[in-house]
Order: sequence, then C-alpha cells, then structure tokens
Amino acid sequence: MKKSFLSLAIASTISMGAFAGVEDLLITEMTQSTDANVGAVEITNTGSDAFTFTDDITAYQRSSGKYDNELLNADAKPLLTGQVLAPGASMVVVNSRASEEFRNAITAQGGTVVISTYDSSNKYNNLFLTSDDGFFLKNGDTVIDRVGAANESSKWAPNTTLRRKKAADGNNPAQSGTFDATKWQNILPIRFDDLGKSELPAADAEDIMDIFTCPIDRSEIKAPSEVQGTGFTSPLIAEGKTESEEKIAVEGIVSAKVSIPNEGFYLRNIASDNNPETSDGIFVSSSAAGDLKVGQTVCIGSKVVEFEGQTQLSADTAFSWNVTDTDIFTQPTDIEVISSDNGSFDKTLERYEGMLVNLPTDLDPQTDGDQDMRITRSFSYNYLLSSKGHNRNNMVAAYKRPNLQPNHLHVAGSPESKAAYEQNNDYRLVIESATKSNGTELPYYAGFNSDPHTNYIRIDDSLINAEGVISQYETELIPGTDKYDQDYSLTITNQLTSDNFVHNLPRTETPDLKDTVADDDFAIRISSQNLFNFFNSPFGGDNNNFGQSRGADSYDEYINQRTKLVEIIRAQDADVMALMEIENNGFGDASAIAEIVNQVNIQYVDERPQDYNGPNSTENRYVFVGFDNNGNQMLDNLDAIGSDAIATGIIYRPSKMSIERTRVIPMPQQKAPTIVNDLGEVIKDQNQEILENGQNYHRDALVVTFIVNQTGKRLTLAVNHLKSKGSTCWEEWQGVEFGNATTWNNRTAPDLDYQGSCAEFRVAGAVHLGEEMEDVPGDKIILGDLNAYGKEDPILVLTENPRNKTIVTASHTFLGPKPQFNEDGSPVIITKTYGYIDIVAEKLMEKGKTPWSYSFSDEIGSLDHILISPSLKDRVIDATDWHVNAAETGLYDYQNRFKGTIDGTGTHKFYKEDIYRASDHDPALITLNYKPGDADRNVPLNLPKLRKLIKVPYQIPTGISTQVGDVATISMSPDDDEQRLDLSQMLLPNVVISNDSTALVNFEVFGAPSAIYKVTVRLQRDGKILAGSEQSFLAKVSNRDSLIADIVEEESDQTGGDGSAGSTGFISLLSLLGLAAMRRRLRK
Amino acid sequence: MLNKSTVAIAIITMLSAGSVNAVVLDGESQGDHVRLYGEVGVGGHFDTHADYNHDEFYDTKGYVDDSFATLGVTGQRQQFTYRLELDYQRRNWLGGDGEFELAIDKLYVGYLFTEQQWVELGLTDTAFDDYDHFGDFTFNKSIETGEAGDQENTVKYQAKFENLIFGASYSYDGEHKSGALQGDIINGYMGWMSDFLSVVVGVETRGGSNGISKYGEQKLIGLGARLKLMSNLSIGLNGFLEDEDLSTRKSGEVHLDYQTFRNYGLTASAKYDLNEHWEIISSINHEEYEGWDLLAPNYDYSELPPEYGKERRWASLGFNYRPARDIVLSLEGRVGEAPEAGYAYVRMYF
Repeated sequence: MKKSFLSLAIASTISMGAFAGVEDLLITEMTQSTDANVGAVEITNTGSDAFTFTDDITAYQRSSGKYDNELLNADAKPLLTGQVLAPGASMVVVNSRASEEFRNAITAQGGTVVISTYDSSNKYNNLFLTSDDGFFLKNGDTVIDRVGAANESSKWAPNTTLRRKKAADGNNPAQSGTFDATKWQNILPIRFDDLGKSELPAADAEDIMDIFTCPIDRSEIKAPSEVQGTGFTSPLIAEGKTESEEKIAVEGIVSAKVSIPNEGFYLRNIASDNNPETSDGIFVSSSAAGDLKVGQTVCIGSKVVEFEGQTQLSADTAFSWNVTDTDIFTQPTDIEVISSDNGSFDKTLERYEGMLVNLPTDLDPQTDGDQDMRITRSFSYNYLLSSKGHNRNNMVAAYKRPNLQPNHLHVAGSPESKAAYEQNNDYRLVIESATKSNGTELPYYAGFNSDPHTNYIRIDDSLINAEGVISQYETELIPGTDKYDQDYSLTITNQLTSDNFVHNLPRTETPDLKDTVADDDFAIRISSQNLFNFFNSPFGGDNNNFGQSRGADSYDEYINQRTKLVEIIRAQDADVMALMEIENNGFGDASAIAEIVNQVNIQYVDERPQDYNGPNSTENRYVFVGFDNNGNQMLDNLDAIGSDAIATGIIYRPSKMSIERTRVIPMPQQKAPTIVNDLGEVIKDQNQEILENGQNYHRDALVVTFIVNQTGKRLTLAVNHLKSKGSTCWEEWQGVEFGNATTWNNRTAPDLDYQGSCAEFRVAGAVHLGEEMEDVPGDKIILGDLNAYGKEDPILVLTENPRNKTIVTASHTFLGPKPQFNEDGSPVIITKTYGYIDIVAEKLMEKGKTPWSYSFSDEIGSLDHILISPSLKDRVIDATDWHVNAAETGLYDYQNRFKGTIDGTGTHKFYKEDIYRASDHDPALITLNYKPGDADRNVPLNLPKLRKLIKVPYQIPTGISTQVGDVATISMSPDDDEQRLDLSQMLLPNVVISNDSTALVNFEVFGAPSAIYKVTVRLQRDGKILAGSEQSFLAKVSNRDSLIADIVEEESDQTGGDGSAGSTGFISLLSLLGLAAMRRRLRK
Repeated sequence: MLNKSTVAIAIITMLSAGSVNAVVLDGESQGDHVRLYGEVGVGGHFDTHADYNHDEFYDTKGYVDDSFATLGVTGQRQQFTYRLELDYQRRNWLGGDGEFELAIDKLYVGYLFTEQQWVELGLTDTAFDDYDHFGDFTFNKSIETGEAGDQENTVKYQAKFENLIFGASYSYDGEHKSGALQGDIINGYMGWMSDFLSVVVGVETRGGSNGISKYGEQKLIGLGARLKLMSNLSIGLNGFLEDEDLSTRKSGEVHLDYQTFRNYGLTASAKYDLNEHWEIISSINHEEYEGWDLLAPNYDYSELPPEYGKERRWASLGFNYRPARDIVLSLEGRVGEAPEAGYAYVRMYF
C-alpha cells in the first residue's frame, strides 16, 4: 500500500469518526396528502450501531419543489439533534399537529415519533407535507438521501404512501442524493400501516394502485342526477354522515374543468333525467385531471361526499376513472326559478349544483318583468375572515337586486332586518373565474382587461348570458360563532363582453338632481362628500399632530387622488359642501382643506358679470370655513379639530351664502375600562395590539350657521363623521368569555343586529348632537358620514323611532371631563328623538329608488346622510345620492398598490383623470328653494355688495296685483343713526312694473355703505301709494365673505341676559319661592 | 367682597349704634356737619383650608392677612349729604393676589327728603347690601349672600320709620368685585324692626352681561331675622336662595351657554353679651351651591369635585372683647367644613 493511500485512509477515518454510522441512515417511507396532519417521513438506521444525531445531520422539507425548509426544534436547532436511533429501528417525523391517535399508532408499530415544531415566528420549521413536497437529509453540506424530485412542483404524491424498496441483491439500498421513483413502492390511496416498521419491501414489489374499472353492468352506474337527488344532500349518504359508505360508479360527460373554487371537473348526465328538482351535474374534486378534456365521457369510482355544503365526488389520481374519448358539447342550462323553490334562491341553485348553467335575462318567467342577477360587489378582493383558502379577487351577484344592508330599510334588530339578512344570504351568488385572477384582470372578460374605462362593471349591473358551473363552498366564520357561511358560486366558463353587463345605473357625469325653481326663486345646492383620506402633509402640506398619513403613499398617488377629488367636487356644483376624511392639519395656507379649495377654484376664472352663471365664473369659487380651535386668533396648522388624524370640513360659495356663526361641537368620547381576561390581563389581537382599550372617539362636529344671501334665512349645517363600524368599542366585548386567553387572534366580536361595532357609541354621539342642535335657531341640516345605515339606532335617534325600539347608549361616555349621562358610566335608554327627516331616502323612495352610498362586502346602503329639520321640508326641491364611487370597483381609485404595471407616468391602466371612484363613498346632495326676501324673524336680509351694487328684494304682498306702469319705490336709512355713514353715493332707484304678473321686484341699489338699514318698499299707482303694498324690513348691507378664510367670532348666544334688570325679573323672583315651577333650563 | 362687606357691617353697626365714633370737623345746630371717620384693623384668617375653600381666599395657607384701613368723610349741608370713603385693603379674594390696594369704596351725594327718607346717588352700597347679613351676628361673616354689594352708577332710595324699613336701588351696568360686567342690578328690601323681633326680606335681580362676562341673569331672595330673647341674648337667622345664570362655555372672548345654578345658604347665629367688655357669638351654617354638585347637569368637570360635596356645613364660636371704647379684639374658631380654622382681629375706630 502506498503511503499516500494510507494517509488518506487515516485522514478520512479521523474525519469521519464523528459521523460513524451516518451512511446507515435511510429515508424509508413517506406519507403525503392534502392533509398536512398525516404527512410523515420514516428514517431507519440500517447499521449495526445505535446512531446519535448531532447538529451536522439536518432534515429538510423540500417545499413545492422550490424551497428548502430546515426542520428545527423550539430552540432553533436541527430537529433531530440528540435523537438516538437504535440499530434496525425507525423514527417517524410528523407534523406538529399530528393527532395523538396517529402518533400512538406509529409507536404501536415500533417507531419512534419525532414531532416537528410549529413556531409562529418561523412557520417553515414544521414538517408540512401537502402532496407537492419532498424531504431530504443532509450531512454537513451534503445531501445524503432524498425522497421527491428536487424540482418537482406538481402534486406528485397525492394521497400517497411511498416505501423504499430493497436493492436487487436483497440488501438495504444505498443512500441517494437524487430521487429515483423506481426505487420506491407507490401506494395509493395512502396507508399508514407500515409507518414505524423498519422492514422494506422487496426490490420487485409492485405498486399498489387503487385502479378503478367501470362496471360492465350499467345498472351499477349512476348518473350525476341520481347522486344529487332532490334535496340539499345526496340520497346516497346516510343520515348524519358526510360521505357514502361505499364507492360508487358515476358516469357523465365532462362539462367544465376549473380550478376555482376548487380544482377539479364537472360531470353532467349523459341524458337529462328531465327532473328539474335534481341537478344533472356533479363536481369531481381532483388535481389529477390535467389530461381530461371537456366533452369526454368519464366513468368514475368515488365515494360521495358532502363537503362544505356541496355534494361531490373526488379522485386522487387518474386511476380513479375510465375515459371514453368523446367530444360531446354541453349546452348550458338556463337557471330558472320554479314554484317548488318556495322563494328560496338557495334551493334554486341547489338544483343546479355541479351543472353548467347560463344566467338568462329572466330567471323567473312566471313573474312579471325580468328577474336577473345583479352585481352586488364589484370586482375586488373578497376579504374573507378566517377563510378556508378562498381569499381572492372576485365579484358577487345577487338575485333580482343588489344586496341591501339589512338595517338599511329595516330597523336594526327587527325581524324584518333579520329576514333581510337571511334573504341576502339566500340571494347571493359568488362570481368566480375558472382560473385565479391576478387582481387586475378578469380571465373571462378581455374587454375589461384591455379597456376598463369603457368596459366597466358596476354594482347593480345585470349579469346576463354568463355561463359557468355552480358550486358551493364555505366562505367565512360568522362573527362570534364557530360556524361558516356557505355560498353558491358561478365559475364563468365563457368569454363575456360589455353586452353581458347591462348597466342599470350607468355612469353619469353630473348628479341627477333637480334644481329648477319658479321664476323669481333660486336654488341652493348642498352636498356631502367623503374624501377618502385626503392627506397632503407628506407632499408639502402642514404636518398633522397625530403622526399619521392615511392617504397617498407617493407623490404620483397624491396628484391622482387630488385630481379625482377636484373633479368630483366641481361636478357636484354645490353651493356648500360638507367634507369628511380630510387630513386634520388645521386651517393654514398649507392645510389639506386649503389645498383642495385652491385646486377646485383654479377652474373658476371668468370674472365678467355676463359670465356669472357660467361654469367657470369666479362666482363659483369656494372658501373653506376655518375654526380657530386653539383660540390664538390665527387660522393655522395648530387649529386641528378633535383627536383623530382625519377631520371634517365645510366649503362654501361666498356668492351664495354668508357665515353668521361657526362652532365646533366636541363629541362624546368613550373612556371605558380596557378589556381583560379572567385574570385581569390585557388581551391582544393578532397584530399584538390591545384588543379593546376602551378609549374611543368620534370626529368633532363642525357647525356653521349661514345666512343665505338675498334672504334673512338661517341655514345651519352640522357636519359629522361618527365612529366607524370597523373597530370595536367597549360594548362589543361584553358577555364574551375570554377565560385566561391573552390573545384573541382574528376573532371578531359578535354582531347580532348587524350594526357593526360601536352602535351604542354612535347613539351617544347622535344624542349629544341632537341636544346641541336643539339650541340652534332656524333651519338645520345634520349631514355627513354617520357610519349608520338608514334604520340603525343613531339615525332613529336623530329622526324618529316609530316602533319604540329600545335604544341604548354606550357606557362611560364623556364630554371632555364630564360624564355624558350617568356619573357611574352606566348607559341610558334613549326615548327622545329629534325629528329630523332623512331626506335623501325620502326623495328617492318617492321615485321608487333605493338610496345607498356605500358598498361593504357585498351589501350596499347609505352611511352618508342628509337629515333636515322639518322646517326645511317645504323648501326641498330634490335630494339624491350619486353613485359615482361606491358602485365602481376600487381598481379605479388613485392608489397604485395591487393595480398591476405602473407606467412611466406613475400610474396604471385603471387610473383616469375623471370622477369615478374618486372616493369610496357616494356623495349625498340636496337642493333647497329660496325666494329673495325670505327671512326668519328678527333676522335682517343679508345683501352682500358686488362692485358696490346690491339687489334689494321686494316681495309684493299677496293680494296686491301689479299693473304695468306701477312704480315700485324704495327708501333706505341706516338703522343706527350714530354711524354717520356717507350716503352721498347711494342711488335708490324706482322700478317701473312692466309685467302684470310681477311678484318680486329687485331694486338695484348702488353705493350703500356697509351697515344695517331700515328699508321701506312700496308700490305707487298714478302717483299714489297702493294701500297694503308697503313693506318694511331690516337689511344688512355688507361685503361678501372673503375668499380668504377668516375667523368668524362666535357671537353671544343670547342666553346671558340682555343687561337690563326689569320688572319681569322681579315677578319671576316669585319662582324662587316655589310659587311657580318656572325654573328655566337655559338653552344655547 | 369679604373686606368691604365686613367693613360695611362694622360701619353700619357703628353708626346705627348711635355712638359718635367720628371726629366732628365742623358742625352746627341745624344738623349741617362734616365728619371724619375711619378704622384701622389688623388680623386675618388662620389655617385656611384648601379642601373646604369655595371662593373665599386668593390662596389657602396658614395665615391670610386681612388687615384693613379705611378713611372716610361724610357731611351734610341742609338736606344734602355726601360721603367719600377710601379703603386700604388686601386683595385676598379668589383671583386676587393678596397685595394691598387703595380703593374708593364710596362716593356719593344724597338728599334727605325727611329724616326718614333719603336718596343717594353715585358709588354706594346697593340697598340690599345694607341688610344682607342682618340675621348673622358673627363678625367674620359666615354664609355670604351673593348680593351686589357696592356699585357705581347707583340710585338708592331708603326709608326708615319707627318699625318699618324699606329701600330699593338701581345700578346701571353693575359689576362683580372682580370688575366683570353683571348687567343692571335692581335690589331692595323691606323689614320690620322692633326691640324684640326684627325681620328683613331682600330681593335682587340683575340683567346679565349678555356674553361679555360669565355672569348672566340672576335672581336672589334673602331673609334676615333677629330675636332678642333676653336683654343679653339674641338669636338670628340669615338665609338666601339664588338662581344665578353662569356661562358654561367660552369661545374666544365671548361667554356662551349660560345655565342656571340654584344656590342656598342658611345661618343661625346667637350673641350673648357677657358684660360690657365681652360678647360671645356662635353660629351654625349650611350652604349648598349647584356648581358643587357632581350630579347636577352643569357641573364643571374640568375641576375635581369639592371635598365637602354638594353642600358645606360648619359652626363657629367667637368672642369680641372691647377693652375700651372704639377698640375691638375679635377671635373666632370654626369647626366642620369651614374654609378656615380661625379668625383673629384687632380694630380701632375713630
């Protein structure tokens, strides 16, 4: 022997010393299916010495042919380290959640069980085999043995057991870093009876495949319709069971192959049974149908299973069926509602479960009109909570009409509301694509993909002549329960065009809102628009005090957002507008509201009086209402309102209205205890945030009293954005049993009346608002995003509660430091209502339409309201909401995330500089009718000057009929003589009546200095004053409100006395003695 | 108010006692005269109690000095009278700073219709001020009736017959002692005086500041009664009931949202003349302000609720010692929910 050989041998002996026996380790068995809990790998020590695992021997899962995931223990060390494997013994590595029964069976078969570790911080430590995975062992850097081809990404081992065969010479096989399938015995379906046993099958052991052969006796073959039966479950499954005892043979023609909602194919009856009560189709769950073609005839052997509400068959491999290579076309069946469905659309769909169907223009020919399917959620991510793998982008349709939120037309908690909830569940049909959408493309609608602005899909579109297969699956946990909702779905199989989507609410460029008035009158238009988190602080605006930016993530997005918002504000053409979700960064020049107003105003440039009614007139310019909230006599970035990063705002046209008074109504806050478990420990959610800390807020209400120009009519707007439904308040968790839990991951609070979170807290806000507004004189409007649907508690409080529902406030609510209701924080029952009128709902219902302004999940309803005081009722011309945002998919919004390719201009194919989806809420609008000269008691007419000219209206008294040639005259004198006004320029014209039907005269008075005047107007006929024609009133002549936001000081609210102590005071002294129950509660 | 009313009581006591404490500068038989009068007093409040302080003191500490001097001239020529009175006093009321200030306390001219009826014009006591503590024998006032006190721009009519007294005053643009506008103030009283039993009822109403200060309208009724049980023992009863409107919100400089607060107070007091040098005076007191009541609708939660709750009760025992004419040494101790533990004072009149 040469020296060098010897030294090499010695060296290798030394270096291998630590690993003595490692070459005897062998992967001898693997079990794998879609259920990770039964995935296992058996390792056997084929040597003659016990083997102790060290850190050098590492075990890996090869996941999906792509990722090497090392199995680690709880200390992040190799999983097998420290394990000792006796000679000839086997150990079995199992998933962390393998059942005790499963593990005990392995132990009983002689194996040592090694449970892999689940660690939430490193989820891939765990053995998690799901049909497409492999496994290997490494010694140092070298792969010593492997099962599963390294790059195999298909479901190569469905429901399979693989056993290592002996070598041809009868000895144990050698380790191999590569996988050779011929060296393994393939057993299907999966078996566990050998796990833990170290004996290996012989080299020539046959694969054990469960190969199905279609029976020759055709009477043993069932048609899909026989499997389906007439009920919701298969007649072949025994009562109380979820699968049939035996496999049966089912034959049919492949009508569709899809991968959504579940991978597999659909079989239909070769010949229909002509029984409408049974479905003629069935779904076969299989990932092995790659070679099957639509039109082929398949005879399959399978148990019948009820899975998530669906009757289905399943096949792990193509051995489960026999194919006859036919090419038979399947004509989709029109879905038809029949009388035996008894009004249950679920029953209708159950009759089509597993079938290839078509959505006709009329699903119910027995009923007048077309009952079709309406889009009720536009194309978007489905945000299923605790979903069973069905989270994806899709749409939802509903039978006959979009789903209305149950509380939208029915009092929350009422039987009608619950019935509406049930009906929504019943009418729902999820619209799926055959392959998973990438979120920006609809596989079945090429026109949408190439030109989404022309081929848009909106809520309430009728979906007609869409073909596809009907399935059923479990969607998400019902909040507060451990039950899942089940929905039917239609997986579309044909290509659609714009003809398949009939727009029942087509896009419009302006709202459909009447504002026609009688000749002398004029209209005031008011709207409410949520701005969808308009934040300008990251892009040069003033910072907010809350350290948050909820809006645009980039400058490109910001410009896109602003552009769309400016367009939608201009399109509404409102004289005063309430805004929500605008950054709370004060009222300085660089505030978000200043930015929006400036950008809107850019278009309004025509200055000449002849253009005053034109679209670009300077008369259309807006100014925002500023609030000097910190009282430093400046409007600046320090004047943030309330405690949220977003606030509300008001903008208005000084050409139409003038501010009389502004104020902020601080809204109640909830300061309740933090939610704790039985041990008093704080409970956290899945994001490590405190589940509910008891501190909750509304946005403060902005209240502005305007005087409508040319009148003496007050109009007070209270702009609100009540606490959202999304995050919880203290109330939600009362009655929830937490035990000793410190985390409450992904579990939503119960919501029995569908009002979402914080209904009670919104009631507290509504009560406070109602109370505060009671003290405001004149016409009033409460508007904005009240985060409550039409018949939810806060709206009932502000409007009426005709069914005397018991409405309870939140607990522990405070107004500043003051308890809102009871000192001990206990809630109160609200019996008082405030009588406002939900005018948008009322006007739309008159027109036979349904109001809605928001889409959440697949339900629509109005969160954005205009509630008017009854005093305004007769002035209302029209009111509406404008479905310019909520009806559209969010793809059209300004955001760039999840929108596919971003082009060179920093945007994506869905973005356009238009009004659609400028926000997520639709605007609500109202028009009011005014006649010049209308006035509240003791309020002077507000006559702003424009270029020194005012128009003084003279409403000719009813009963006086004018004649051509009558002369209207005016006299004006300052109300306060001491002002010593220079009246030398004032021109008081006489107006000659030129029309017999004149009811209003406008005197164009020039040069009247700003002051309050006593005005007397009268008619003269033939030089004599016409009896009864004389009118006297006060008029306030002033400059218009500036286009630069200015501080409007609050004036005395007239509750602090008039300064003079008089005899009435003495008389009322009697009340002190209790002689009269006259004690006043003063009102603001 | 504390000082002024104390002094006013002192002076009234002094004058009505009939003793001629003043220095007559010039006098003649028809009654025309000029008199100089005054007082120097040193003393104050001991152990003022933070927990029980309502708005008595500018600061709660071991000793709040209440030293005081006044100098006045009063005169009459024919039917016309006049009076000028200067006070040198501590600004030791709530919101003050405890420093001395010189203030004109009275400045009026008057006219005597008869010996029994007269009017005064100028800066003077309002009518009710003269009797607001009628039934309270203590020298360190106990329950304070929140009447208007001294006011500028005041017209006052008073009448005093053998048993019947009455008076009324009108003050234009009345002010709180802090200078805050309260609006026009009208008050008056009517009483029955006898050696055995005397009763005075007073009323007041004010017009409010209409947003300029926190004071809105107010109505007040007060009662004072004295009963002479024995030649050396008298008991008194003094009380008030008030509805006062106060602003609950302010925007900029404008006071808003006035709400009515109802306040009550009652003092029962007794005075025993031990001998010509010594008097023993005691009182029991109860007062109740709506603003103290946590459960009242307009409680101001920006402040902690008072220690004593919505009502305050205390009792006092005091002595006056007159070692010589025009000298009084006073000592008073209080128990219960009293804003101070004791009061000691020496004053000399001239």
